[in-house]
Amino acid sequence: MNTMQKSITSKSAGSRIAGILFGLLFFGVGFLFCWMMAISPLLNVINSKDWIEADCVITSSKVHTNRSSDGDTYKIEISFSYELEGRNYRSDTYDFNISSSSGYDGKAKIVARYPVGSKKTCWINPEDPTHAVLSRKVPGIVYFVIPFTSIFMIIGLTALLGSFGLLPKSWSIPFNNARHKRVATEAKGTKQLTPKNSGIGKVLIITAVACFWNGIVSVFLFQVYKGFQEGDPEWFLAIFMIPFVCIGLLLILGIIHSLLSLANPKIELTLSESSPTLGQTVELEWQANKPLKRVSKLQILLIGKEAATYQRGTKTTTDTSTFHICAILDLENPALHQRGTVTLTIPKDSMHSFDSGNNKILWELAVDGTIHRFPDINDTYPITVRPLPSV
Amino acid sequence: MNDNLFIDLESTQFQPEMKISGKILWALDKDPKELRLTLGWSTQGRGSSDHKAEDQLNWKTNATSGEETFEFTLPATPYSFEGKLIALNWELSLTAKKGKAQCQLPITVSPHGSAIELPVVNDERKRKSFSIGSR
Repeated sequence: MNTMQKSITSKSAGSRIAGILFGLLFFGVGFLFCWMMAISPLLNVINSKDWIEADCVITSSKVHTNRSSDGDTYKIEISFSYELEGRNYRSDTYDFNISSSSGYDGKAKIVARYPVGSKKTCWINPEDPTHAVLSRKVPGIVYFVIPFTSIFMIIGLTALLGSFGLLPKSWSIPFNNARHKRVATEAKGTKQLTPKNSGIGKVLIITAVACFWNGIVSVFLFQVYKGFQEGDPEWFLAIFMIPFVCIGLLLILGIIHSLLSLANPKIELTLSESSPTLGQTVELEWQANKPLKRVSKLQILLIGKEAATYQRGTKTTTDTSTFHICAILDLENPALHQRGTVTLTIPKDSMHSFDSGNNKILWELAVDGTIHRFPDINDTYPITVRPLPSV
Repeated sequence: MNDNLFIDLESTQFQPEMKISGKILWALDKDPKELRLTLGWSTQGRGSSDHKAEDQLNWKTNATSGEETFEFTLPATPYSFEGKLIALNWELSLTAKKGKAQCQLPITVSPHGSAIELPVVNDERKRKSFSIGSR
């Protein structure tokens, strides 16, 4: 005998827990290694700028080999004795690097510069005179560890935010394939449209990114500055930092550009039906919140486009293709106008709004205004296009 | 004997929210334990594929051959469409729990009969963010 059941299964709780565990593991391990091998040594380098300079005598000097099945790693081991305020101390800390690494020759050259019995200069921690170093330079491994561990932390953080649904949809990791949002079929009535990116939001995002980026860069720049000030410039670090400083400057220019954009007139759009159906004709009311004296051309366009998101290696890419574009307002001298009403018709034989996660059909109204020698008006207002009404 | 699964429909073109009714037929070497008929859609093209099962019917059976009727009501969306980057295709899929027998039947869900074709329009707008030059 045959028995029939109707069912739909879905999965999400399991994949969310897996995402959280994966995220915690990647972020935790990345942060731990970054702290131990890069941030902690870097903070010590900065703190050591006030340490007391003193003479010392090298008592032992060698490259220590750590043998393991994955291959040998090496660490500089130099012991020295020094005197402070009439008391003798000993230290075996060459610099602030706590890890051993591959590459014997470089370390052997450093050890050769510190023969046993030679007199050298060391720096003593005034708060704990038992702690002294021979080199206050940033350990070379820091330049490798920060970008390397950042990859782990970014992957972990992305997985965590994605698991808690805190990422923009285009960033989400496809843990499951049920991200389809069915387009509403009910009318929503008259509504003022909200721009995709608010001016202040853009300023805040660029400022936050610029502060984060330039904050990290400034730690290294301070190091370069100190080196030059003390007559012992770190040329490798100075040259290494050039592209990072350039990106930081571009971000500052981005803040200026987005701040200037805030002074632009804002065009408020109100649709008589904010979620029109395919084939529906609706009224669009537009109104500028400031005089359009400086705007030489103003256009409002209805745009329909496909957006396909895919992975290429570790990079997530979204390609778009426009399938509908139609100017519904085209003013050559907008200074004469401040507001107006136009009608727009959604094509009947086209596709309604669609969002399945990686693949989307997007409809939007784009406002383009040209302002000479100033950031232009480039605002987009997403709209939802509903399917044809049921027959 | 070969495993045979069939989905029998009078038409493969449907309007949204329409009822789909038809028959499934099977003739298998072994007891299938369970037969599953899924109504769903998937995307193909440039983007990573998305897919969704909109409805599903299961028949627990130990008969190696037989037939059953089915009926689904299609949702209002999404429509079948084909664009430059994305195509959305609907299908009915019949599978047997035991064994590898399966059968897919593509269908079209659109108010116009055929899948909506999205053209490629040249977007000539220059989304420049800063204007220089004389007015």
